[in-house]
Amino acid sequence: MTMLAAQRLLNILFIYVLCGVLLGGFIYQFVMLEEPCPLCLLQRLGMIGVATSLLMNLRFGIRVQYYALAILSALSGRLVSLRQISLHVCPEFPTFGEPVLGLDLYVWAFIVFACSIFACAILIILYGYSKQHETHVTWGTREKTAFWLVAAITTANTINTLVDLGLGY
Amino acid sequence: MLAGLFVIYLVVLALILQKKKNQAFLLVVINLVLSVLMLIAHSTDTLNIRL
Repeated sequence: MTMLAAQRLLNILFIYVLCGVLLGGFIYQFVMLEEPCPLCLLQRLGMIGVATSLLMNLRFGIRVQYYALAILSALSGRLVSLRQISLHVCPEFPTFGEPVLGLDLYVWAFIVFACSIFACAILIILYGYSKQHETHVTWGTREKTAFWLVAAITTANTINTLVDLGLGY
Repeated sequence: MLAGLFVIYLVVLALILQKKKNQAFLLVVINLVLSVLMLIAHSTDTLNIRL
Protein backbone atom coordinates (compact mmCIF):
# COMPACT_ATOMS: atom_id res chain seq x y z
CA MET A 1 0.00 0.00 0.00
CA THR A 2 1.39 3.39 -0.97
CA MET A 3 1.59 6.33 1.44
CA LEU A 4 -1.24 8.13 -0.39
CA ALA A 5 -3.52 5.07 -0.28
CA ALA A 6 -2.82 4.74 3.45
CA GLN A 7 -3.69 8.42 3.92
CA ARG A 8 -6.96 8.05 2.04
CA LEU A 9 -7.82 5.07 4.24
CA LEU A 10 -6.99 7.05 7.39
CA ASN A 11 -9.16 9.94 6.14
CA ILE A 12 -12.08 7.53 5.61
CA LEU A 13 -11.57 5.98 9.07
CA PHE A 14 -11.44 9.46 10.61
CA ILE A 15 -14.77 10.33 8.93
CA TYR A 16 -16.35 7.07 10.18
CA VAL A 17 -15.22 7.81 13.75
CA LEU A 18 -16.73 11.31 13.57
CA CYS A 19 -19.97 9.89 12.14
CA GLY A 20 -19.99 7.36 15.01
CA VAL A 21 -19.68 10.17 17.55
CA LEU A 22 -22.48 12.14 15.85
CA LEU A 23 -24.71 9.05 15.72
CA GLY A 24 -23.93 8.44 19.40
CA GLY A 25 -25.16 11.96 20.12
CA PHE A 26 -28.38 11.15 18.27
CA ILE A 27 -28.87 7.88 20.19
CA TYR A 28 -28.24 9.71 23.47
CA GLN A 29 -30.79 12.36 22.44
CA PHE A 30 -33.57 9.91 21.59
CA VAL A 31 -32.89 7.21 24.22
CA MET A 32 -32.27 9.54 27.17
CA LEU A 33 -34.78 12.10 25.80
CA GLU A 34 -32.28 14.95 26.16
CA GLU A 35 -32.95 17.84 23.81
CA PRO A 36 -29.72 19.40 22.45
CA CYS A 37 -29.04 23.03 23.39
CA PRO A 38 -27.71 25.56 20.82
CA LEU A 39 -24.15 24.99 22.07
CA CYS A 40 -24.52 21.21 21.56
CA LEU A 41 -25.72 21.87 17.99
CA LEU A 42 -22.75 24.18 17.35
CA GLN A 43 -20.45 21.36 18.51
CA ARG A 44 -22.15 18.96 16.10
CA LEU A 45 -21.65 21.59 13.41
CA GLY A 46 -17.91 21.64 14.21
CA MET A 47 -17.71 17.84 13.84
CA ILE A 48 -19.59 17.98 10.52
CA GLY A 49 -17.13 20.70 9.46
CA VAL A 50 -14.16 18.41 10.18
CA ALA A 51 -15.82 15.51 8.32
CA THR A 52 -16.67 17.75 5.33
CA SER A 53 -13.08 19.04 5.11
CA LEU A 54 -11.81 15.44 5.08
CA LEU A 55 -14.37 14.58 2.38
CA MET A 56 -12.83 17.38 0.29
CA ASN A 57 -9.51 15.51 0.64
CA LEU A 58 -11.16 12.36 -0.72
CA ARG A 59 -12.99 14.10 -3.58
CA PHE A 60 -10.43 16.67 -4.77
CA GLY A 61 -7.19 14.92 -3.77
CA ILE A 62 -5.26 15.27 -0.53
CA ARG A 63 -4.13 18.87 0.08
CA VAL A 64 -2.74 20.65 3.12
CA GLN A 65 -5.40 23.38 2.88
CA TYR A 66 -8.19 20.84 3.48
CA TYR A 67 -6.39 19.58 6.58
CA ALA A 68 -6.07 23.23 7.69
CA LEU A 69 -9.82 23.66 7.18
CA ALA A 70 -10.44 20.54 9.30
CA ILE A 71 -8.21 21.98 12.07
CA LEU A 72 -10.07 25.33 11.91
CA SER A 73 -13.42 23.50 12.16
CA ALA A 74 -12.12 21.51 15.14
CA LEU A 75 -10.89 24.73 16.76
CA SER A 76 -14.28 26.43 16.33
CA GLY A 77 -16.03 23.37 17.82
CA ARG A 78 -13.47 23.25 20.61
CA LEU A 79 -14.20 26.90 21.43
CA VAL A 80 -17.90 26.06 21.79
CA SER A 81 -17.29 23.02 24.02
CA LEU A 82 -14.87 25.06 26.16
CA ARG A 83 -17.58 27.69 26.51
CA GLN A 84 -20.07 25.04 27.65
CA ILE A 85 -17.56 23.51 30.09
CA SER A 86 -16.92 26.97 31.57
CA LEU A 87 -20.69 27.51 31.98
CA HIS A 88 -20.96 24.42 34.19
CA VAL A 89 -17.54 24.38 35.83
CA CYS A 90 -18.65 26.15 39.05
CA PRO A 91 -19.93 23.70 41.71
CA GLU A 92 -23.21 25.56 42.25
CA PHE A 93 -24.18 25.28 38.56
CA PRO A 94 -25.77 21.94 37.65
CA THR A 95 -24.29 19.92 34.76
CA PHE A 96 -26.26 19.61 31.52
CA GLY A 97 -27.60 16.10 30.80
CA GLU A 98 -26.59 12.68 32.06
CA PRO A 99 -22.82 11.96 32.06
CA VAL A 100 -21.41 9.23 29.81
CA LEU A 101 -18.56 7.17 31.41
CA GLY A 102 -18.26 9.83 34.10
CA LEU A 103 -17.87 12.77 31.73
CA ASP A 104 -20.49 15.15 30.35
CA LEU A 105 -21.11 15.13 26.60
CA TYR A 106 -19.56 18.57 26.08
CA VAL A 107 -16.36 17.35 27.80
CA TRP A 108 -16.35 14.38 25.42
CA ALA A 109 -16.82 16.81 22.53
CA PHE A 110 -13.79 18.78 23.76
CA ILE A 111 -11.73 15.55 23.79
CA VAL A 112 -12.97 14.61 20.30
CA PHE A 113 -11.94 18.02 18.92
CA ALA A 114 -8.52 17.78 20.62
CA CYS A 115 -8.02 14.31 19.10
CA SER A 116 -9.14 15.63 15.68
CA ILE A 117 -6.47 18.34 15.76
CA PHE A 118 -3.86 15.77 16.81
CA ALA A 119 -4.95 13.35 14.03
CA CYS A 120 -4.84 16.13 11.40
CA ALA A 121 -1.32 17.07 12.52
CA ILE A 122 -0.21 13.43 12.10
CA LEU A 123 -1.87 13.22 8.67
CA ILE A 124 -0.12 16.45 7.58
CA ILE A 125 3.23 14.96 8.66
CA LEU A 126 2.44 11.80 6.65
CA TYR A 127 1.45 13.96 3.66
CA GLY A 128 4.80 15.78 3.90
CA TYR A 129 6.62 12.44 3.66
CA SER A 130 4.68 11.14 0.62
CA LYS A 131 6.90 11.31 -2.43
CA GLN A 132 4.19 11.64 -5.07
CA HIS A 133 1.02 13.73 -5.23
CA GLU A 134 -2.37 12.50 -6.37
CA THR A 135 -2.90 12.92 -10.08
CA HIS A 136 -5.94 10.65 -10.35
CA VAL A 137 -8.47 10.75 -7.51
CA THR A 138 -10.45 7.57 -6.93
CA TRP A 139 -14.09 7.93 -5.87
CA GLY A 140 -14.86 4.33 -4.94
CA THR A 141 -17.43 2.62 -2.74
CA ARG A 142 -15.62 3.45 0.52
CA GLU A 143 -15.45 7.15 -0.34
CA LYS A 144 -19.07 7.20 -1.52
CA THR A 145 -20.24 5.44 1.67
CA ALA A 146 -18.40 8.01 3.81
CA PHE A 147 -19.90 10.85 1.75
CA TRP A 148 -23.49 9.63 1.99
CA LEU A 149 -23.09 8.89 5.70
CA VAL A 150 -22.01 12.50 6.34
CA ALA A 151 -24.84 13.74 4.06
CA ALA A 152 -27.43 11.66 5.95
CA ILE A 153 -26.19 12.86 9.35
CA THR A 154 -26.16 16.51 8.20
CA THR A 155 -29.71 16.16 6.83
CA ALA A 156 -30.91 14.56 10.08
CA ASN A 157 -29.30 17.36 12.10
CA THR A 158 -30.89 20.01 9.87
CA ILE A 159 -34.37 18.51 10.37
CA ASN A 160 -33.72 18.04 14.11
CA THR A 161 -32.63 21.70 14.50
CA LEU A 162 -35.61 22.97 12.51
CA VAL A 163 -38.02 20.92 14.63
CA ASP A 164 -36.38 21.85 17.96
CA LEU A 165 -35.45 25.49 17.45
CA GLY A 166 -37.26 26.58 14.31
CA LEU A 167 -35.51 29.48 12.57
CA GLY A 168 -34.10 30.97 15.78
CA TYR A 169 -31.40 29.67 18.12
CA MET B 1 -30.46 30.54 12.29
CA LEU B 2 -28.63 27.44 13.46
CA ALA B 3 -30.59 25.34 10.97
CA GLY B 4 -29.24 27.67 8.26
CA LEU B 5 -25.67 26.68 9.15
CA PHE B 6 -26.56 23.01 8.68
CA VAL B 7 -28.22 23.88 5.35
CA ILE B 8 -24.98 25.58 4.25
CA TYR B 9 -23.12 22.31 4.96
CA LEU B 10 -25.68 20.47 2.81
CA VAL B 11 -24.91 22.93 0.01
CA VAL B 12 -21.17 22.32 0.57
CA LEU B 13 -21.75 18.57 0.23
CA ALA B 14 -23.64 19.14 -3.03
CA LEU B 15 -20.71 21.27 -4.29
CA ILE B 16 -18.25 18.52 -3.31
CA LEU B 17 -20.30 16.04 -5.31
CA GLN B 18 -20.21 18.41 -8.31
CA LYS B 19 -16.42 18.84 -7.88
CA LYS B 20 -16.62 22.61 -7.31
CA LYS B 21 -13.72 22.84 -4.92
CA ASN B 22 -13.25 26.62 -4.63
CA GLN B 23 -16.91 27.30 -3.89
CA ALA B 24 -17.05 24.43 -1.37
CA PHE B 25 -13.90 25.68 0.37
CA LEU B 26 -15.23 29.26 0.53
CA LEU B 27 -18.59 28.16 1.93
CA VAL B 28 -16.92 26.12 4.70
CA VAL B 29 -14.83 29.19 5.66
CA ILE B 30 -17.97 31.37 5.68
CA ASN B 31 -19.75 28.76 7.81
CA LEU B 32 -16.88 28.71 10.31
CA VAL B 33 -17.01 32.50 10.66
CA LEU B 34 -20.81 32.36 11.12
CA SER B 35 -20.41 29.60 13.76
CA VAL B 36 -18.00 31.74 15.79
CA LEU B 37 -20.33 34.77 15.43
CA MET B 38 -23.21 32.57 16.60
CA LEU B 39 -21.18 31.50 19.63
CA ILE B 40 -20.43 35.15 20.47
CA ALA B 41 -24.11 36.06 20.05
CA HIS B 42 -25.17 33.16 22.28
CA SER B 43 -22.55 33.96 24.94
CA THR B 44 -23.40 37.67 25.13
CA ASP B 45 -27.11 36.83 25.15
CA THR B 46 -26.72 34.34 28.04
CA LEU B 47 -24.64 36.76 30.10
CA ASN B 48 -26.91 39.69 29.11
CA ILE B 49 -24.00 41.66 27.65
CA ARG B 50 -24.84 44.30 25.07
CA LEU B 51 -22.03 44.97 22.63
